[in-house]
Amino acid sequence: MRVFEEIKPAVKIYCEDEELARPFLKKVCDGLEEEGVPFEIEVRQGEDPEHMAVSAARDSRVNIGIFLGKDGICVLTHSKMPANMPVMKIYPELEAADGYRTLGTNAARLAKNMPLKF
Amino acid sequence: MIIAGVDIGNNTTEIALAKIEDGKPRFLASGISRTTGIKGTPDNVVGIRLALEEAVKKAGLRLEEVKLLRLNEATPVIADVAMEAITETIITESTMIGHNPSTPGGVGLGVGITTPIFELPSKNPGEKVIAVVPKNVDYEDAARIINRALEKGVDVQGAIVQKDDGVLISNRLSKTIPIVDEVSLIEKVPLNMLACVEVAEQGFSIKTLSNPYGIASVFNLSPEETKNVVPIARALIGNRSAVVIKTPAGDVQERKIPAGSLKLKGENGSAVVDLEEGAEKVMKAVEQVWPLVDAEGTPSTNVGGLIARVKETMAELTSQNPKDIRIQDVLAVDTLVQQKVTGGIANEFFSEDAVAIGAMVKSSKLPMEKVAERVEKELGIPVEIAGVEANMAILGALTTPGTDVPVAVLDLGGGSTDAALMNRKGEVLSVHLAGAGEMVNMLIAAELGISDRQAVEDIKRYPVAKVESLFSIRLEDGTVRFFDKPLDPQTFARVCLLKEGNLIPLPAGLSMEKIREVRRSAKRKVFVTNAVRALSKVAPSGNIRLIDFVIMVGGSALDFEVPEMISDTLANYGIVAGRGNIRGTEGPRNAVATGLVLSGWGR
Repeated sequence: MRVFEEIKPAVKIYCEDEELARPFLKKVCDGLEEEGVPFEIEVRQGEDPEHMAVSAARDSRVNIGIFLGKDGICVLTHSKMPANMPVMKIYPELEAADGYRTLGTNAARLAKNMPLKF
Repeated sequence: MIIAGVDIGNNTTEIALAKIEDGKPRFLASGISRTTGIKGTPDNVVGIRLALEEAVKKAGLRLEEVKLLRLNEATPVIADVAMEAITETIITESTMIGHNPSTPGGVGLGVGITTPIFELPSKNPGEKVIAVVPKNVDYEDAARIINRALEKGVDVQGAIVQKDDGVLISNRLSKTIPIVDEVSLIEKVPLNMLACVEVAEQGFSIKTLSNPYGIASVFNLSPEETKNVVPIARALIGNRSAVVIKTPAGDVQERKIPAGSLKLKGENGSAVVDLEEGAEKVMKAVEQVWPLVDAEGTPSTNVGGLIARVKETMAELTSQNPKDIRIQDVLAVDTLVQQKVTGGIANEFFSEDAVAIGAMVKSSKLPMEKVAERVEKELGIPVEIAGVEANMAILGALTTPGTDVPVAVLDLGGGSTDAALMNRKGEVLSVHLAGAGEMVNMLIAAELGISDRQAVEDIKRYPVAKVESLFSIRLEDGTVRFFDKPLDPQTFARVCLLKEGNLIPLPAGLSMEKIREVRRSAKRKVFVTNAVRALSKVAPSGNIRLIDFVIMVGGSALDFEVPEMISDTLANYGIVAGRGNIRGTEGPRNAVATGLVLSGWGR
């Protein structure tokens, strides 16, 4: 059972494999850090990236979750968004590394109630 | 018999389709289309055909069944608007970075010599430097180089960074220094110059660089030099971060452009007003010499150029000699225009004072006969040129339920604001004034710094709202509206226009309050001013209080707030004013077209 006080107000990042996804993860974290929003990383495996992102969001006290797959797929969502409508989704083969940083920035801006970058 | 009233306006062509039964018209349908070409030219035929086809289709008829077109004798007035800034800020040899990144790094005030980050290792201990970090340097490398320099004893006082890396660098430094980031044109930052970087704590704004004496203390300026930095300080007020660099020849000037004076010739003498005295003085002078015969600006000044430009445009439109163009009315409005600072480094904008002028020109009678001939030939329908536009507008407006003579009609259009008054005897007095919808657009565009014409038109026509969460927006009046479906993340936390049920995001950095204020003041400055001006000119013995009823018609009467603003102001003069509802169904549109049908067959 979770003790409520132990959940920090932070954006939750579920990462499938910290080693494989390290370069992407670093970019996402850079985006969050530059905006000054705290985040937590947890290693979790799961089937569907969108659903994993939603459970990350439900696990976050600011309701914002990110899922980063070992293949580089990255999904940003809010706990109140339907699973099939993530706020932002990135495919590794299509995006330059900048996309991950932008996703981190947007996660932070979602938390701060500021306009997102696209 | 089926007949149609055709009203060719500056912006729209409107049709009223009616069937004459027992000598009385029964209205069937209306049509509307964009006016093609300049009004009063044969190009108009295309627009007439489109509008007519729409009306005929709505009524379930065929084009051949229309037996007569009644065309208005278009008022030969054309309006134009122009704007000139009367102050200008020039930065010679870039000396300041006045932009406001959302996340600068560190906090404090640093003074030192601007040094490229690669040269830090070769600096001597004790030297005060400001590191300049271009975008090809990773934040971790930048932090490492600065830390190493600090260890060596080099006094790194601050940093200027091209990418959005301020916080990331700051978090990795052994000492807190102010860092300004997102400086896009970093290659323009002068190197080896004394510079000052200031970053305020979150929630505060800078104190030293926004104060002329603060800048003077940092750079040891003489009283004369301090005077010159006032524009810098002014531009930096309210920023959370800023950089000021002192270059030997560096200088910021606020140049006053000689605005020139406006010479107004009227039937009752003439007057000369200096534009610097403001729009109010200009308008007073216009009233003094009214009716206006012509206006001129001092050659080779701003206003000279402005008036010349208006006359040239008019001359081109009416194929006349610019010398023969006479300006019949002028509306001057004070405004602020967002202008890019000449010589800025980070795309800084300054608000400069400006004057916007709308001018109205009477051309020789528009060749409506030619239009009529062309329509007859192309559509195969007989055409009749009927009555004066103002009289038609009144006839049409009087079909609004609850109205009767004596009445005044305010026609709020795109190019001009017109007023006409019909007394109990049926005599009509009318006036055309410069300044209407297009001038409002110009003011909005200038004050908000938006160049996209469609965006400006939308800002004028629709209220704004702020997206507060993924499911809700806050409207202008403070109420919150929830949506069943999540909103597009593109609109998140943005100020949006509520356009026909859609949310159109506006450029970031514009607040809801600012947009609303600019929009409403532009409408007030043009339409409310002109409503009062126009009505006093047609009122019995010039006394606006002697008018009882005013009906507002025309495209701009459809606006969601202009009619209320005018009604509100006119109520102070004891006038009942409201938006017309032509034939009880058409709203404020179609007045002239309806009048054209009625004038042929009585009421």
